[in-house]
Amino acid sequence: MYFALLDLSDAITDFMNRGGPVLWVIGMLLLVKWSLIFERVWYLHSTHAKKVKQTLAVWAGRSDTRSWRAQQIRNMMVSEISLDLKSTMPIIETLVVVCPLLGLMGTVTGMIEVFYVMALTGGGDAKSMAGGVSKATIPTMAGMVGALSGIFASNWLKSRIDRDLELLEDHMA
Amino acid sequence: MKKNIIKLAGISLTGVFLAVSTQAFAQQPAANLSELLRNVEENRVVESQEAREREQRFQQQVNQQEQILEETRTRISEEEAENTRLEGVFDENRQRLADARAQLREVRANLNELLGTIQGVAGDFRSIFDNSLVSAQYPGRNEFLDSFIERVASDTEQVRVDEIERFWFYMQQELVESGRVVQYDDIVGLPSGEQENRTITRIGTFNSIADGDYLSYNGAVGHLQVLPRQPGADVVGRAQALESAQSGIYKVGIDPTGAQGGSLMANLINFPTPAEQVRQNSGVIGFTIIGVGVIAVLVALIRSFMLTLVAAKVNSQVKSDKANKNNPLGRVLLVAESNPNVDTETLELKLGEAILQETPALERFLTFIKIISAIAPLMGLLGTVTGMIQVFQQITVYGAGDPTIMAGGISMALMTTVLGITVAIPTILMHTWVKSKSDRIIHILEEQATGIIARKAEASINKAQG
Repeated sequence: MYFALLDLSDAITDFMNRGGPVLWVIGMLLLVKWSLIFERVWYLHSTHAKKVKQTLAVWAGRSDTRSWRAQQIRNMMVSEISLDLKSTMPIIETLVVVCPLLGLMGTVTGMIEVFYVMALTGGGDAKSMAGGVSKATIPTMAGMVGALSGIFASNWLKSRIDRDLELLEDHMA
Repeated sequence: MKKNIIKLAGISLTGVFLAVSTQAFAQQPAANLSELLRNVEENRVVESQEAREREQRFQQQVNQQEQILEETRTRISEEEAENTRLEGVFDENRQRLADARAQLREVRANLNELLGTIQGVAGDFRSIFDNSLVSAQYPGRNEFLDSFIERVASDTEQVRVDEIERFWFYMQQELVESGRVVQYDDIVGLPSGEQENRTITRIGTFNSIADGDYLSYNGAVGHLQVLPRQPGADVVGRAQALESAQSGIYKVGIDPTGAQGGSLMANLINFPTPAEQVRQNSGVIGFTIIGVGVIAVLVALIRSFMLTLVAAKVNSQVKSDKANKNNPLGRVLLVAESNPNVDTETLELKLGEAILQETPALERFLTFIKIISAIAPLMGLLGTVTGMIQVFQQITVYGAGDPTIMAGGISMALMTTVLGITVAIPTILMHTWVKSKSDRIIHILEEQATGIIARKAEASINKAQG
C-alpha cells in the first residue's frame, strides 16, 4: 500500500517535473478553481437553501405584497441572495479564461528552452531538445484540460444559479 | 702683405709635416727645410734597421708555427686511428645489443602478448581513472599507472609481478567502488574559491554530495568542487536525506550522463536563470511590459484596498438605521431622507441620479487595469515580431547555416511573449477581483437602496399604526 502510494506520488512529481514550473502554477490555479466550484455547489445545497427558506417564510408572513414598497423589499431580498450566490462566480470564470493563457505561457517558456539548447548544441541533438518540447506541450495540454473542465462546471453552476434565482422570484410573486 | 701670407702658409705646412712625422722625431723641431730633409733621411735609416729586426723575428715565428702544425698533424692522425678503433667497438657493441635484444625477445616470446594486453588495458583505465570520482577518494592511482605503462612499454625494463598485482587491485577497486555508496572526509572547493573540509557522500561513480551540494570532479584539479548552480530543491532535499541516512533504501537523483556521469549537472552552470534570461533577452519592449505590469498591479492593489474600506462602511450602513455621509449607500439614503414627501416615481429618479453620481468613483481605474491586461499580450506579440525581424536580418547577413545565431534571436522574440502573458494573467485576475468588489457595492446601491428605504418607511408606518 505504502509503495503503491510512493509510486503514485513519483508518477505525479515526474509528470510535474517534465512539465516545468508553469505546470505547478496551472495546478495551483486548477486547485483554487475547483475548490471554489465545489464550495459553490456546497453553498447551493446548504446555506443558500436555508436562506431561501427563511426569505420565503418572511415573504409569506407579509400581509402586503403588492405595493411599491413591498416590490422594493422583494427586490432587495432577491438581490441579497443573488449577491451571496454569485459572489465567487467572476473569479471562477476568470480562472477558466486564464488557464489556456497559462498553457500558452508554458508553451513559450518550453520553446525558449528548446531554442536555448539549440543555441548551445547547434541543433544537432534532438534528444537534448526533447526536454524543452515536453515542457512546451504538457502545460498547453494541462491548460486546455483545465479550461474545458472549468467551462462545463462554471456554465452548469451559472445556469443552476440563474434557475434558482428565477424560481425564488416566482415563489415570491 | 702678400709675403706674410706665404710665410704663414709655409709655417702651417711645416706644422702639418711635424704632426705627420713620428713622435720621437717631433721632439726635434726642424729649423728650416734642409734640416727637415736631413732629419727625414736619418729617420729612414733608423726605420730600415727596425724593419730588419722585425723580419728576423717573423722568420723565427714562422719556424715555430710550422713546428706546431707538424705536431697537430701527427695528433690528428693519432685521433683518427683512435676513432676507427672506437667505431669498431661501437659496431661490435651494437651488434651485441641487437643480439641481446633478440635473445630477450626470444625469451619473452610468450610474455609479449601479455604485456601488450596489459598496456592496452592500463591505458583504458588511465583514462577512466582520470575523471573518476573514486580517484578523488583514492589519489595517486594515476601516478602509479603512468609509471606502470611506461615500464610495460619499455624494451629494457621488466615489470614485476607485484606491480601487475597492484594494477589488478586498482581495477578491482574501481569496480567495487562503482557499486558502493560511501562517506569520507576530504577537501572540497567552494564556488567562492575557498576550500573546506567536508563529509562527502559518493554514490558509485555517478555523483558526490557534500552538505546537500552536488560536487564535480576534474582530474586536473585533483579535488572535488561544489557545482556553482545546484539542481532543483527536491533533488537537493533527497540528497540531504541520503547524507543523513544510516541504513535502508533512499531515493536520490543521480546523473549518469557522460563518460563518468555528471555532465548534465555540469551543464547546469551554463543554463541561465529566469532572471538572467529576462535581463538578457527582453529588450526595450520587454522592460516596458514589466513597467506597465508593475503599475497595473500597484493600481489594482490600491483600488482593492480602497474598495475593501468602502465595502466595510457600506456593510455597516446596511445594518445601521442612521444614514452616514461617509459611504456611497449612506449618501444615497440621505437623498431619500432629505425628500420625505415626494411620490415614488420622483424618489426613484432622484435615487437613480444619486447612484449614478456614486458609480464613477467606485469604478475608477478599472478600465485602466482592463486595458493593460489586454495590451500586455499585444506588446508581447510586438516584441515577438521585432525579434523575428532581427532574426531574419541576421539570416540575410550570416545566412541560415548557423542555427545558434538564429536561436538567440528567437529566444529573444519568445521572451517578450512570455513577459506579456506573465503580466496579463495577474492583471486579469486582479481586474476581476477589483471589479467584483466594486460590482458588489454598485449592486447594493442599485438593488438594495430602494429596498432599505421602503423597509424604513414600512417600519415607521407600522410604528405609527402600532
